[in-house]
Amino acid sequence: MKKYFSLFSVFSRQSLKSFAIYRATAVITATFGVLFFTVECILGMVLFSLTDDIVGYSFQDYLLMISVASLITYLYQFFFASAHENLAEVILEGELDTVLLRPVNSLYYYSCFRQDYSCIINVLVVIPFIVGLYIQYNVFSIFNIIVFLLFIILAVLCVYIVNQLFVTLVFFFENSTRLLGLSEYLYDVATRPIAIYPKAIIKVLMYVVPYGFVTNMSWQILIRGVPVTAFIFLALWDVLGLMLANALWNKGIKKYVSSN
Amino acid sequence: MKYLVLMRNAFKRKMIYRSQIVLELFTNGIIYFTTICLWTSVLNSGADLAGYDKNQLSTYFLFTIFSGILFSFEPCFTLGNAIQNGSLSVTLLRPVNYFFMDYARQLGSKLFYILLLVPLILLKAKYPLSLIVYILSAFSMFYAFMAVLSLVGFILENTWPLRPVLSALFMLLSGQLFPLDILPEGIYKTLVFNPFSLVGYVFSKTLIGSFELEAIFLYSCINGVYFLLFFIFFQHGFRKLIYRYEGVRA
Repeated sequence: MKKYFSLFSVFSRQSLKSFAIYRATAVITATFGVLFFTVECILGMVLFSLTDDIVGYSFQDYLLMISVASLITYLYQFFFASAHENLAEVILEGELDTVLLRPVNSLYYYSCFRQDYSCIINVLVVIPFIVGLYIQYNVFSIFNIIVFLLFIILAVLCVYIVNQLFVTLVFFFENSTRLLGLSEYLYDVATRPIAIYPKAIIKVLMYVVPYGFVTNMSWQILIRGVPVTAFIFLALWDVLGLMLANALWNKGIKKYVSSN
Repeated sequence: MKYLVLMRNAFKRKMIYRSQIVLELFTNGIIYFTTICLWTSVLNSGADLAGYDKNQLSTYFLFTIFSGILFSFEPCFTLGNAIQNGSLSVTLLRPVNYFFMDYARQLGSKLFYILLLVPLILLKAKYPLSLIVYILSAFSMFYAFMAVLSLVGFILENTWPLRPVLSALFMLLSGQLFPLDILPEGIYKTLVFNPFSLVGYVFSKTLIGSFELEAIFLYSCINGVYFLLFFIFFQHGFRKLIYRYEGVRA
């Protein structure tokens, strides 16, 4: 168990060095995260200039929801994006060998190998936003904040699992890297007040691929606290998801043939 | 004649990757679906959208999102890619004008989507011929705009940062997120003539039939003026900047 933690600190150090070398790229990537977040905010401003309430959400609620949803995305991208985006290429180039030869769980090694520190800039931009919005609600509860932070961890894991499941398909079908884009679209679809969608879509986005659950519940936990069942549901989903991802990954590796 | 051949080849090349067309239509279909759900709930909450009801909004967004497929950013990056991998050397040896060559290729690759529109126009539009003229003028204008932006490939090594910027600008300024005429009068009048809006908001409203013949004519002329300006800028810029090209990796 201890080796997993010490491995992670090595990965972190290497990622920081990589970030320091490619500074310009990092800054540009960070700018784009902020750019799209700004576009979402402008859309929110336009929508709420027309009406005060969309399916029960006020302007503050809407802004808080997209801020927290963006925070989850940025954290996911920080930890896991470089692993997921490069898997197809890594398989083709035969670079997966070095991952598989190590005496650690290969899924862990591969997924946590690089962190994208340019996303930290995005996280640092969106946190004051969330804090500012939170202050406006005038509810302060340390307990809710702690549960909220725990929920964020579960949420990031959930996004990781869904993307991991999509990405593992690369072992089985060629040309399936486009499916990662689909997962991102799905998350964008979910970053809206879920009640605007028809019932069938709501059920899928809440229970099957709980993106809707994650985006819509997380801000409410910060403000109103969480029903225990919600927390347990996501924790269970994450555990089952991780087991599924691991199993699928191992199946995929059996199909993997080194091109070295 | 050679440009028609280029166009035909680009069309054939695009039609080989049919699954890509299906995927493109599918993902834009999802975007359309979510946009409609969002705006329906806005309307249901009692908002008054300056003369838009549910049907008009649906059609408006259908064409705005379709315009995202029809008018693409690709020409902005083809020049940069050709410079990076040295294939520009071969292209320069050919007896074709670069601007019109890429224009023919773009037109060919989007011909499928244009042909999707034509029956719709011929059947339902009030002024079918002026619509077709407008679509071609908008396409040419946006292509010329992208061509001018592509000149940056001579100066910068990596042009990929331009893609998200163009995406964001397109979402905001073209009326893809919200119809531009719900903005205050002053802002609307300034924004409606920008190139993004001409291929988004104006394109969509023209197809719906919100504009009279004079308005369509006016917008087509504006497209023509933009096209001329961008074309002259591109030719001049290309001639000046080509001396920076070193043919690395050719």
